[in-house]
Amino acid sequence: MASQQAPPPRWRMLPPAHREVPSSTTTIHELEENLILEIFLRLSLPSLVRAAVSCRAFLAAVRSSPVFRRRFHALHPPLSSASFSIPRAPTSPPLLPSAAAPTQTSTLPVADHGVPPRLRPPYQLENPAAGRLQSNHRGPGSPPPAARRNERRLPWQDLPNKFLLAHIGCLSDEPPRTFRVVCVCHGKSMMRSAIFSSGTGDWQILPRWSPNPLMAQPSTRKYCYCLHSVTQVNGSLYWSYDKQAYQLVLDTATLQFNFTDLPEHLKGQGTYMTGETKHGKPCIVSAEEFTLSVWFRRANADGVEKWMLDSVIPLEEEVLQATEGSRDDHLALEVGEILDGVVYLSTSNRPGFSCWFLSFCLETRKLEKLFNKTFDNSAYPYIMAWPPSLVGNNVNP
Amino acid sequence: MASAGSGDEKAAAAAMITLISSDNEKFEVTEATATLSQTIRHMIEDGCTDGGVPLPNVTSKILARVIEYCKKHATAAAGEEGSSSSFSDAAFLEVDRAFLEELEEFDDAFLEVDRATLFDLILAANYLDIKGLLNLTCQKVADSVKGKTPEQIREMYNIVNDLTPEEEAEIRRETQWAFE
Repeated sequence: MASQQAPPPRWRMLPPAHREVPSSTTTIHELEENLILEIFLRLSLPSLVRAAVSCRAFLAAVRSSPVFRRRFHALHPPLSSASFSIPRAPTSPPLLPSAAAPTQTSTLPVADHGVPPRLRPPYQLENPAAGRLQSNHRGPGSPPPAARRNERRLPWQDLPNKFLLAHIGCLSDEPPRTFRVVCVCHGKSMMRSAIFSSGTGDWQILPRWSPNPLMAQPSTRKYCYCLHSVTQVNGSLYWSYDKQAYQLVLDTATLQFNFTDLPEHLKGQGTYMTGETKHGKPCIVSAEEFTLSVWFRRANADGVEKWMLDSVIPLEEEVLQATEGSRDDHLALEVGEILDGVVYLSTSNRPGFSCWFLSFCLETRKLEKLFNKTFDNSAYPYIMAWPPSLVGNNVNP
Repeated sequence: MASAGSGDEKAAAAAMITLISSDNEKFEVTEATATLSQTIRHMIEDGCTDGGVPLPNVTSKILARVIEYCKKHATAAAGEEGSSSSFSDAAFLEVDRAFLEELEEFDDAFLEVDRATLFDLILAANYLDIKGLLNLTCQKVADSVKGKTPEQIREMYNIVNDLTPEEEAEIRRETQWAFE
């Protein structure tokens, strides 16, 4: 039967001509510029820089193509083009008057074209009591206007000591390069806040308020209102406290403050980070030893929005594998920041300790090793600039 | 039965395409395999494949490898089309997963070639417009460059450094973070 015969092969070589095929000697130089760029597209930014300086042709290829730059940026989310900025001075409050020495910030990679990196404007309250906003902007690119003017006095003339717990968040980092900086000063029973706008170059004072029933909780700690981090998620700024059971939230559209309850497990802990998922939804990640816990904000059975535990992810094995180290080499995982669903982690938070920086994608659950460095107080990721030396077509022939 | 069988054979025969390498070797492939190449797909659509498709930029050695890749991946594409519609139970997913793993293993083994062949494959994938193969081969070269210093890259690919020391120093100074 015809149907029982072996099917014809899907392809077959016809009888070959009997002669020696000379072995190929093709080199990388035979690839046209578009193919070189096709390869370079698949590199991380630091690797791209190193490849580009290996010869004039490669450098010219990278410099000549704005299309390539766009494709590279599109293909490399912060995860692969991110680096870390490691300031030498603590960025966290309390910034007490005694600690009011001018802050020195050394950023490893330069900021992105002078636009303040998201949520991490190079500003600190140099001296909250004196109400000075200090710019720590360094590096090439046109610094934002406020940075050029170097400092802006906070609007409060008489900031008593109990209001010293101030923190700054940046409201906008998108071009056009106007941005707003929010300063929150937190006392035991009252909060003050003001917004600096680069457009007007001045502060707008928001009404004082003391509305929080949660704040009535007894606390024995002197600096119990330490705000230790701020994250912008989906149009809101989230401030985390060191020792409180809630977070402070500012709706950036209405400029209304609010408090939001934390997951039970994290109340009073301060060892968590708020961030956003790939889809712009708020999430909280906390690390215990080498295990990450992830919370998303969802409606519970009663329709009330709450932080709901989504997953608990043990990472010890993967971390040890990625860093080719042993358990003794690392202290514990520390959550640095969460950008676009990527959690940036370090294996230590003690200054002077050797530390691995890693990234973990919440969606793909992929852990990636970034680099090893001595931990230097604090570190945070931001989107890297396209190096100016890789722009333009001015390579001499 | 017999007539139906010969009809199938006829259809299969009609869907065969002959590819002719630069050194004049002929390869007969199914249309499904050949049309992984957008270049050949367009030629088929334009009806200019009678008497074979001459590929003056591709040697027989490289064309044989390219066909090997296309054959494997054409089967994969056909498998995907079949499975995505109504079968989505666990057993089927399991088969899918196994097949994807097999495909990955195939790709890994496929890339075990010397550098010259790898560049030839890139050139062929570009000329024939085979996206998957271009991606695979470019990624292989990119992986070999990752984490290397400029000196190592030059040595690996026989690249002569024709930048002046001043030029190179200036770029390195500006992008110091890339060299740490």
